[in-house]
Amino acid sequence: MAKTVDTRQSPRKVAGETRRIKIIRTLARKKWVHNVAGLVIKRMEKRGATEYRIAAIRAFADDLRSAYRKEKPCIYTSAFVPNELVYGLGGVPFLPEAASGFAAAFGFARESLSASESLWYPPDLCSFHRAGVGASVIGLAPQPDAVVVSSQLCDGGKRSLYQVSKAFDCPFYILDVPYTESPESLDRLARQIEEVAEGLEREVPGLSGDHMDEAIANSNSARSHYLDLCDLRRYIPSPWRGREALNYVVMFLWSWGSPWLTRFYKALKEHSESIIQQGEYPVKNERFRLAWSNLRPYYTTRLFDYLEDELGASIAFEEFSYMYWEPLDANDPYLSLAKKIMSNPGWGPIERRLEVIGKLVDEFSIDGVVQFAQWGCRQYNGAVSILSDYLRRKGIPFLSLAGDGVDERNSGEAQSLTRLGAFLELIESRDIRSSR
Amino acid sequence: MIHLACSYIPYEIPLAAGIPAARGIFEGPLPSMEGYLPRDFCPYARAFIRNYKDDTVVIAESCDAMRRVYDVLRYWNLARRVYFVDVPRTCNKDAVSFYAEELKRLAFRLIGSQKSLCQESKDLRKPQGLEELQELAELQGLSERLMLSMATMNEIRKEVSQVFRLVSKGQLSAAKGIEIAVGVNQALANPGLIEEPSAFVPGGILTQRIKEMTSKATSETDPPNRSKRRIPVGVTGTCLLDPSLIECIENAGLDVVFIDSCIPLRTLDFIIDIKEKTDPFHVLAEAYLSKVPCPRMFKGTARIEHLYKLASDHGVKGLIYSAPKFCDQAYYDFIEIKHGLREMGMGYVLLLESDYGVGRTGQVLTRVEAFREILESV
Amino acid sequence: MRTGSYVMGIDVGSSVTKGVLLSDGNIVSTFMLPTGTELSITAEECIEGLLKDRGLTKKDVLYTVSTGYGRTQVKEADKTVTEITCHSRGAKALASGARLIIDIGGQDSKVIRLDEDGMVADFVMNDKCAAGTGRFLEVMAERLGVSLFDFGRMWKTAKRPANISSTCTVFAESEVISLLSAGIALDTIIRGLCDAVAERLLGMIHRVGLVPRVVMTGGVSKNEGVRLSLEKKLALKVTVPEMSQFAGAYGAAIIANESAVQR
Repeated sequence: MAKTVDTRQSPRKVAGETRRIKIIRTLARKKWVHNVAGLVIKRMEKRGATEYRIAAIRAFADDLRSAYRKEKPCIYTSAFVPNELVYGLGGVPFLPEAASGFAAAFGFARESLSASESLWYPPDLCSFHRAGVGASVIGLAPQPDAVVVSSQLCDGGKRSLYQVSKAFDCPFYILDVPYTESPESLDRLARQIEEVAEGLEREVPGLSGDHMDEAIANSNSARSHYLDLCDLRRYIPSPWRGREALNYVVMFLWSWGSPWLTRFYKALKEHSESIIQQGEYPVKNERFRLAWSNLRPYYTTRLFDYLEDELGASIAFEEFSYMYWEPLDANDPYLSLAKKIMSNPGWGPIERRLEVIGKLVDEFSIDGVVQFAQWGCRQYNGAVSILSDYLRRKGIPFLSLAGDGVDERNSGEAQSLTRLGAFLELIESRDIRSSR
Repeated sequence: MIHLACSYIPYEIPLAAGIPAARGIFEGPLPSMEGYLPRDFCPYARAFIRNYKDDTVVIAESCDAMRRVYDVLRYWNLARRVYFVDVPRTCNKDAVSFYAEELKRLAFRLIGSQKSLCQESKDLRKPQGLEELQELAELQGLSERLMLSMATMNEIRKEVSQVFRLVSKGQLSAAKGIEIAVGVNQALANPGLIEEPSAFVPGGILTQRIKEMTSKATSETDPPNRSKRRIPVGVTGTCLLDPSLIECIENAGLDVVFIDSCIPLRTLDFIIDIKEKTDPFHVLAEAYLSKVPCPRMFKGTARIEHLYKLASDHGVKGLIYSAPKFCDQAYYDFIEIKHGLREMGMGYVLLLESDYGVGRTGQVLTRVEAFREILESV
Repeated sequence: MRTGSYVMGIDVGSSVTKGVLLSDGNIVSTFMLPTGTELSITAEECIEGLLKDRGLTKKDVLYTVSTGYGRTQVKEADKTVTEITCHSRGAKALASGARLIIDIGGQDSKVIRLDEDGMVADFVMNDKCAAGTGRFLEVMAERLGVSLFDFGRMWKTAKRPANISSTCTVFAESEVISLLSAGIALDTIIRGLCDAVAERLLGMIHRVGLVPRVVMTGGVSKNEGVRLSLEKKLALKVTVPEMSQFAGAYGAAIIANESAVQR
């Protein structure tokens, strides 16, 4: 368990360690629980559960088993660290920011957030980071053997994980990503990645760079299936539900370099193909196609039923799902990972991001863009005025939808539904006007 | 005129180029500029948004908020030129060489913009004819001028630290100290001074004027009228928005004996070790990256050790952390300091969320007074 | 010239102004009234109310301490002390052995931890918005057409709490409306509201460190529902002294008594 704080001065107890949390964290570390989980997955498979879902569940079950049971070193990483590095060293990555989404989906957000609040994390910070720290210190998450962060995209990601490394007293590494691309910034970043790899090998028993080639190859092959999937998602109507796509963003953030990501994207691609062939689209009567920026609320919400089923609006693509890097080069893994990191359109001058959004709008026949304005997200919310102006010039309606992906207390569902409804009415009236 | 957005951007460069430059210090966001950034956003970033017209702005890679300021100023054409300085978060050899190159590029550009060689360059990496600018810089003897401007800035910084020595002895109020530091910042932006041929030379007109100004300001002020020394506290944080918070603390009956904040001090309280025959940009990069760390840096325990030393050297009983609202860097830094200092046996750290004019609000006064009541009882 | 042995504590809160009069350290009179727009006038009325009760005049009062958000507006005050210190002094006197004080007033809430000697060791305040304060409960009660006094009774009849996540007055109001339209029972909703307020306090409580004995003061302490929710969440008994609303004023009066002796 985490060394939280000194108890000399105050009889400090981290909040959120409720009885059910204690039970869950004990169970998560039991061998038999993982065995049972394996059986359940097999059964689901036999009963004909969709292949890509099974692939994803099995993948996470395997990784989490390795992490909780300490079969492999568990490396905490922030959202845009290239996890090819971790898989290539033979470890399992764990992303507290993404795990916050899981915590919200499975109903553990409150405890995780309370834990962080009791450690003085103010509620004005992004809840993905607060819940990530909270889930770690109350032992809901597996224990980290090391922490690697990159400075992109936001400050909270790197800062919160730094605190986690202190709580667990484990090695901490930062990839200080240069903000603008130049030959010297790429070199500097490539050297840093190499140093981090060396540091991890040195400091964490059980890690070695023997699997790097394999991880790079895995990443490239998943990438090519993924690009095929993106092509299929241009199809009208959409072959895949946006709410699910926003859930599976976690794969995109987490799993590059893993042996199973190829399997997942291949299965998903095939699934989408068959949907198109059979013509059984998930959103019946698709009337609007939206692009979605930033994440979504991961707790139970009526938002997507309303959007997809009642209003007939598909989320055709997400900004977070945009494939932004070139294939990696196994002969020069560190430089090509550096290039991957540097190509992130969310990093660097805003024009890079605008270009991508413009491209998505054109390629996916988008009628409107919704940015989920996550409470406390300086990275995205600070760019709202620019994004809305850019899209206005392009003639595309834009909605900044205030809410919180993890902390329900910051969300007004009724208000969100009204806003979405009004936004779609606006798109509709525009379409009617232009068709006249 | 050049507006600087971060304490890691050296004053030395514009000074050597004879261009007036100052850190942006404001009284609050302009109501007419409110639409560019959301309201739940760093007050300093919001205040930084204004129409700079023909001026140049230099933004650093400080934090999320300032990266967005960089975008807003460029996207909406709110300044003729907006340059960006990519400040590393660490201070190893690689980071220093990288930052030296970054500063060199900034210097060439500033000189170019002064000679109108650089057009309205919105693109950071591809200004017209960088080689041309380099030649020009060499012609103007930039390296030598930089060496001299470092020595000059050292003189100025010594002057400022003298002022704060008076503050820590209780001979000058901290609010007055801030006023003087802000005055120094303004002097560096005074075209009449900076464009003088000897401005960047040690002992030249700039240093003289600043010395006159500080000695006048310190002698004019009566020492704080206090029958006895009150409880000493230190103030830390990312960026102190305005003096109202310091005034509030002093009015609540506490003595502020040190201020560890980027405005106005972290820029002005270190001395550069000038090594002759070394690339001046390298010297600058190393000096700025190894100065008292800002909470945005990742330098291990350097910051907490610095604070612990400040606190014990000044014998403070408590520390007040001023976090601008919605400043993530400050919130995370506060958590580390609150827990870290407690482990070091220093238990009293008060968090104050601040905004412009926050020191004039009842809520903050109540917190500060309650903090004083606690410190009185220990 | 002031003579006599009386001392006074005046707590000018955002919604209610309270006063306590002591003689030889014993409470001889208390008074409260809603805080008006002119704080100094409200304070004056409170003082008059306190004294009139005992047939006294201002001359009989040796020392006055004011506290609360309008503490500087009390003309008669010899000294102002913050509500943090006053609430802890008052709560300690009202409930001996108090270590953690939860004060929920009309517009803010605070949690104060005392050390073993009863001195303030740490505190947190929340005064950004009305979320989870007395004002929040008032608005919700009005919306539901229920008296605040019935919260405790209805809490007990509810089999479970409704899930209300927000303590933001605006958000919670729409949550309450949709619960009502979904046919959720009134008592279930009320218990949910009390839980939401308690949940919000938990973070603050753990921030300063949870230590028994936990004492609640301020206007909302009289709301039995909130206390029950808090007890359940903390798995601890929460004491509400009989005069919990007067804790701040009483603390101020105790400090006035000490200061008068020193004088």
